[in-house]
Amino acid sequence: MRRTEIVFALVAAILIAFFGFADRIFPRAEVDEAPAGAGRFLSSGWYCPVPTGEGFNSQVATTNLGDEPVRVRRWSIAGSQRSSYQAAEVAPRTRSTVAVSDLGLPDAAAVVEVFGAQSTTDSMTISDNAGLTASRCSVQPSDRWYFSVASTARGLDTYLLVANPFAEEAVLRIRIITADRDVVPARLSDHVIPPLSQTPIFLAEFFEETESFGLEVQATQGRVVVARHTRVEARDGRRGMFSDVGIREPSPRWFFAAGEVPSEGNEFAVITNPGERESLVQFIIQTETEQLSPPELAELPIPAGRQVVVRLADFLPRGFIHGMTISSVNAVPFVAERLIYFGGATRGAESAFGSPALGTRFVTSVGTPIGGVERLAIVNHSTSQAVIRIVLITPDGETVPPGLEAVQVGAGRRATVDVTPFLGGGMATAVIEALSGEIVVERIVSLGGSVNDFSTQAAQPLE
Amino acid sequence: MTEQIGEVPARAIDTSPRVLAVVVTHNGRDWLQRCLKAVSEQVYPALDVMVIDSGSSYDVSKGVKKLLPEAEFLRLDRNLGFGFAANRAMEVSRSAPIADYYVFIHDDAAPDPECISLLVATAMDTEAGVVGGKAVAWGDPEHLVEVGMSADQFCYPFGGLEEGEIDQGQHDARREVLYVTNACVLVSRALIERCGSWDGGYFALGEDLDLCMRARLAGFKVLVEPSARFEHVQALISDQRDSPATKMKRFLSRRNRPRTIAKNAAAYRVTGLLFIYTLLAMAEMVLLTGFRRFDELVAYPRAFGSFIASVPDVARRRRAVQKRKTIPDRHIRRYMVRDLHRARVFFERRFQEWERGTLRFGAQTMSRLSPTAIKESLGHWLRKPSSIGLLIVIAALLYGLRRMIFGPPLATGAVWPFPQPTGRLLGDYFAGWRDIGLGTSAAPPVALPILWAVGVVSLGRAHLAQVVLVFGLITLGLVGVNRFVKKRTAFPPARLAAVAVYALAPILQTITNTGDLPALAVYAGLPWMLDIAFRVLGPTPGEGGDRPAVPHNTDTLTREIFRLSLIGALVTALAPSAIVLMVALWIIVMVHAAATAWDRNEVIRRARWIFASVVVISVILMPWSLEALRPRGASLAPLFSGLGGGSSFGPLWRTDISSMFFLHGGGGIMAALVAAAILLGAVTLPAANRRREARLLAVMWISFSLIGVLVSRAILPAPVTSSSLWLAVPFTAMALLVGHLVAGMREELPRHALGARHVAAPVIVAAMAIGLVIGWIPLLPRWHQPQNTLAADSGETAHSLLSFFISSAERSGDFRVLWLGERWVDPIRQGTGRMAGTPYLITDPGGITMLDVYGPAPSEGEVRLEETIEAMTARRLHLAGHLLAPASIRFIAVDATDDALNAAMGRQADFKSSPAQAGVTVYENLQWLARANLAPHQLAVPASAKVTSEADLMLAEWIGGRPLPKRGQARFSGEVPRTRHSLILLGDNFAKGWRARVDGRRLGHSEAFGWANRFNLPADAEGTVVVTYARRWVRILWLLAHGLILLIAIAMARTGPKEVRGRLP
Repeated sequence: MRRTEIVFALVAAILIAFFGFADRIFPRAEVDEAPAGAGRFLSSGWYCPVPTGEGFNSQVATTNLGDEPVRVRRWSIAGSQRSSYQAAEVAPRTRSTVAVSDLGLPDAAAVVEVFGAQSTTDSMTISDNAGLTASRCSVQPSDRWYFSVASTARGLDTYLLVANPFAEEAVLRIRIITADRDVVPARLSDHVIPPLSQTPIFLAEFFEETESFGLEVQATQGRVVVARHTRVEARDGRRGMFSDVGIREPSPRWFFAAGEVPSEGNEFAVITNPGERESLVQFIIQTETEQLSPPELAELPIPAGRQVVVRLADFLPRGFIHGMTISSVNAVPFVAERLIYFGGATRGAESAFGSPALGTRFVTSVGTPIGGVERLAIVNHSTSQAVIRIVLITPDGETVPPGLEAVQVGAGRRATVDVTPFLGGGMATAVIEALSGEIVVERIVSLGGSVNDFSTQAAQPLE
Repeated sequence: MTEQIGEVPARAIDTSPRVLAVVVTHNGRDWLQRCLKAVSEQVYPALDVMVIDSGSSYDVSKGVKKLLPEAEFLRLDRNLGFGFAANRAMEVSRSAPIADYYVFIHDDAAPDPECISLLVATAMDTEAGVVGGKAVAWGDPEHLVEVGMSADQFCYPFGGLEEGEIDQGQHDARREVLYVTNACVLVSRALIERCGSWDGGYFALGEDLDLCMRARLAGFKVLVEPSARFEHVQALISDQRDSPATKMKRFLSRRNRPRTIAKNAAAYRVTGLLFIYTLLAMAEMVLLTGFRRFDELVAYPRAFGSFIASVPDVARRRRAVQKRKTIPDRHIRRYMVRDLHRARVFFERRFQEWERGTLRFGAQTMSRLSPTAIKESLGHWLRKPSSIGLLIVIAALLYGLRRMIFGPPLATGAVWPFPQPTGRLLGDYFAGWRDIGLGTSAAPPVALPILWAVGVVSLGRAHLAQVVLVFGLITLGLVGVNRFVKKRTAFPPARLAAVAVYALAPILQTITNTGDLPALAVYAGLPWMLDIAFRVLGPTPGEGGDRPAVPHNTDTLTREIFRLSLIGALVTALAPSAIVLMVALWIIVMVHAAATAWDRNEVIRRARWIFASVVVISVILMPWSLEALRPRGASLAPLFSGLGGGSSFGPLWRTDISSMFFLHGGGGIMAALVAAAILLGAVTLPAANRRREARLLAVMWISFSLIGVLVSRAILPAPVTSSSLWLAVPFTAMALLVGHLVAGMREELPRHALGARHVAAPVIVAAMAIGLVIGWIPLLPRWHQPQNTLAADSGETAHSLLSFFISSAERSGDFRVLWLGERWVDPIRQGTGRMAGTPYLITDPGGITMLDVYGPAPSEGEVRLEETIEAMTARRLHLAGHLLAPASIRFIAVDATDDALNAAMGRQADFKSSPAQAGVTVYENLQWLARANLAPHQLAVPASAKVTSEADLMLAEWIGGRPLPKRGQARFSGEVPRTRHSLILLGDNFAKGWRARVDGRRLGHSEAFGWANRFNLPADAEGTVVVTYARRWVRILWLLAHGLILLIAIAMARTGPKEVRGRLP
């Protein structure tokens, strides 16, 4: 054996030993991979179930968030019919509104198709007698929908508005989850929804009188968009209305930005666990000055297939304005809604979903056709101060109102921004961008006068 | 030229016709004496004899004077061929002017005493121009040599006798023939005067056929008189004559045959015959190349050159022949052999060889398969401890792969169910148009016939075929390792250790779990390739007779390189990117050879030969390789996919390479130590030759591992599709190193005095054993197949789903299915994995099968379709059905548990969902169009997913279109009613070979959507429309050429030149 052989062997051995640690030595560079969803938006369909009734005025607003004009095709569906198309072009960074009644069919759901760029669409319904409600539209028909707030009690008339925008029949199975049981009423186990229709399901006709329960709506055939609409006219003085499209899947975390324990009235956190494992949830409350965790709500058990209603007035002082995070400490997903009844002079009722995730860009409609007060509740969930810019998109273009270029929100704090002065009595779309930090945003709109109601709506994160 | 003229014979004159016998001799010392004696014993009375010596190297005249003192004798200074000599004899002989007949006799022919009498009698009886006799074997008159001759149209001679046929009087009838041999032939004076004598331009071989054809054309008969017998040596043909012609036989025959054709064939045939003759000659050249008879190849260009140079002379002679022609060609052709006799003889001989070989093999096999022999050999085998060890390894391997054998059919990676019937694999290989993706006319992958053969062996059973395929490749790999080590040592434990390492290596687990068929092919072929490459490189380890043969000359080197290329081609057919691996491997071999060779120049020369195998592989795999070796082709796609394999191949490179390579779970320091111990031992303990191979293996191990780690960290581009494929090299090197290590310790260690190495050896063995036992053996229970595939769910589910698709296609026209998500496809499969995030595959209603595995590079249509699929899965599109419709995608199959994909599908307003069945959600595209459609109006669908307004999606009008049913592979047909249909849309990739006809009228063809096919229907079109792909013949021609190349490669790999020399006709 020559010396070179030994040298070679030693070098080889050293190299092999070196490879043994290669995992730790070599940096892990990211491979060249196109991020999902990074391409250009081509088309989207927005489905807006809207409440119907005498004196109800519903309108649908579409905002072009892209840099190129988009073509918009609007139509409505009702009674297995589809109205004729209404085509329009929406310039970049502007919005276009249409009354649902102008789409041609009565008691209809609205469908908006947008071609060519990213967009958002939401709806608002105002009734002099019943109140005010702002609602998201859904871009995603689904075979499952969840709600945490529903009731068949007197004065709490809850409807499911089921929009089936497709040419195929849908069949629903609706599961009711109460505080002590979990049931599928016989007549709701195979409920047929005709094609091209918006079908209201008045829950009191199918289920016994119950103050509160959650819902799981499953389409065993077809895909639908389901909204819940509740008209409140209780003997105890509660009144108003609220509606929103459901959520498609439970989440282990829910962020609410616009909470308030009314001086007169009540605020509830309504949590439903549709899963098969108990979820232990905790509450974190954010205010303009502090962040707190009520010890009683540190590990609140939500049994599987049950609903739990938490009256926040039992833990927080009245008149307390706050944000709220409800999260599962054992990572079991659940559905949460915040339900508020205002009493006294400013009446109103509202139930709203939170956001399941934090983000840096949100969008929501602001304002009403008839004035009112519009505020944005923003909670900064970062560990440092967040700087936020608010852009308002109107039919005439976009502006950044003075004072809203750099709104500062402390870490773990809530801020409320009143945008009413910048709306000029009209409507706009607000794009809320966190220049630093991660946030959640919720709008709060209130109308006095004969409407005398308020509505909240979680702003939609932008992808 | 000098002439010596002997005395004129003083022979009594009688009434018999005078005959001049011309004996032509050239170096015929061995036979001439008997020939002259036979002539002298002729009983024919009026016979004059002239002997002409055509430039013999010895003095012939003495023998002539002794045996035929009355004969005239003429000597030519040099040999100018039989024809020239015979003509010269007739010119100078004093008996020639008075002769009525001439008998020409070769010096290797000995006529019976009555032979010339019988020839003359026959000529007189029949007025024939030429009469020949019966040739029998020299010294063995019972065996026939020739009894009249025929030829095919290209003048290849045909005797009509069996080899070694015994003369039993079976040919003893006088008859007309095409020609008779000039070994002993009578020619009438009348014929010579009318048609001229022998053509001196022939030199040898073929002048007899020429004379007889001229005679026949001039109206003379050509007869054979079997009673006129002569013995004949056939000295020239049997290489017994010391003559330049002996070495020029191929040249002479290939030059003279076109001369005969050109002179004698009718004007309307001569061009065609010469053209076909040229093609046949080229085919012969290809065959000779295959048999590595390069020296004989030279004869062809020489022959053609010589023929072309003689064209003026030939033309002059042809004019003379045609001028005297009195009967048409067809009268002559009745005496010719109808078929291509040359080819028939060739294949007959090959068949006979095969038959003999088969019989021999059968006899040997039967003797080995007798119960006693089996019992004896089995008992002997089982008594060896290494056999027990091998059984344990096999048992462990079978245990590890138990789910593959007994579980549901595999449907993962590149291992998918075989199509039913299996014959579709071969059908698709030969099809001009394949239904893969959006259809392709691309060269079919060579994997298809290989997979078909596996299917045939498995009797068409899909699951069995998979098991045969996977286990066959594993077995090949293990046998290869065993063979490699066995050639280099007689110590069985060395083989056992190497096989054990190779069988239980974690890479095999990874390969079988991911269905990485390409990696498995490399695993199977690499030990065989390394064995050849190392032997080509030079001295190999081993003791005396155990040492494997090293190719020592160009001929054996060629053979080894072709063997290497054939194995490489097989591996590349199944693993297209393996060709890059081979290039890398041979570069390392070259560099190592240059750095450390025992004889640098020689080793580098040999390494170049090895490198040439890559070129040969590419040629063998043509035409497929022409497409695979493009940047987006199957072979080079990983290399061009970006660092770390990019989004397409990156997932298959993100394996934790170092932990997989050393020990499962990142064995850390101990793993590295075990590996280092193996390497250290293998390159230090054995003797020089073994160390040399071990060192090269170590370099391979280290280099490939290092590159693998760098690719997995996205520092380098991925050279091949997967890390498993790449790591097959280090694992093979490791197994072979273990073999060398154990062999070296047994065979080379005792030669040295007791020292540190004797102590190190058991330590290294112990380290290896520990590594194997605690690192790899525990993996065995975890070897399994992933369960997240359709076939894995249950056979019934797959069956019902595919039955639904197929019956839907039968009811409403052919369509395609989009299989979306990682459950169905992964980047191992060629043609998939191009899209960020979500791989997909497009198939016909029959579902995904092995047919879809080795697809071509994506077409323009597929790239555009991909945009739609990407936008759809990224939830940026809600009307994907409209955009998928032109591609005839009707159903989309998605894993029911993939929430993200189902959400994306659910967003599509033009899809209809079906209830999930056994974990599969099927969406139906409500806008779908059949693959071939009669359409009422112009089309307004964007070429790609560029939707800017609803006007881009005007497919609704198409719903009233009328599908054309599929009638076979690449064929659609149906009735065109008298309606407003204005065009036919074919949702396959645009190709010029597509044709559409309505009652025989061909329709205009153009592109639709920038990628599909569109045919314009005339306003008055009515009747049956047929849409077909018309270029099948191009594919078949290509594949025939490919088959020929493959045959040549096989021939070059298996036969030595001496074995076949002289057998090729």
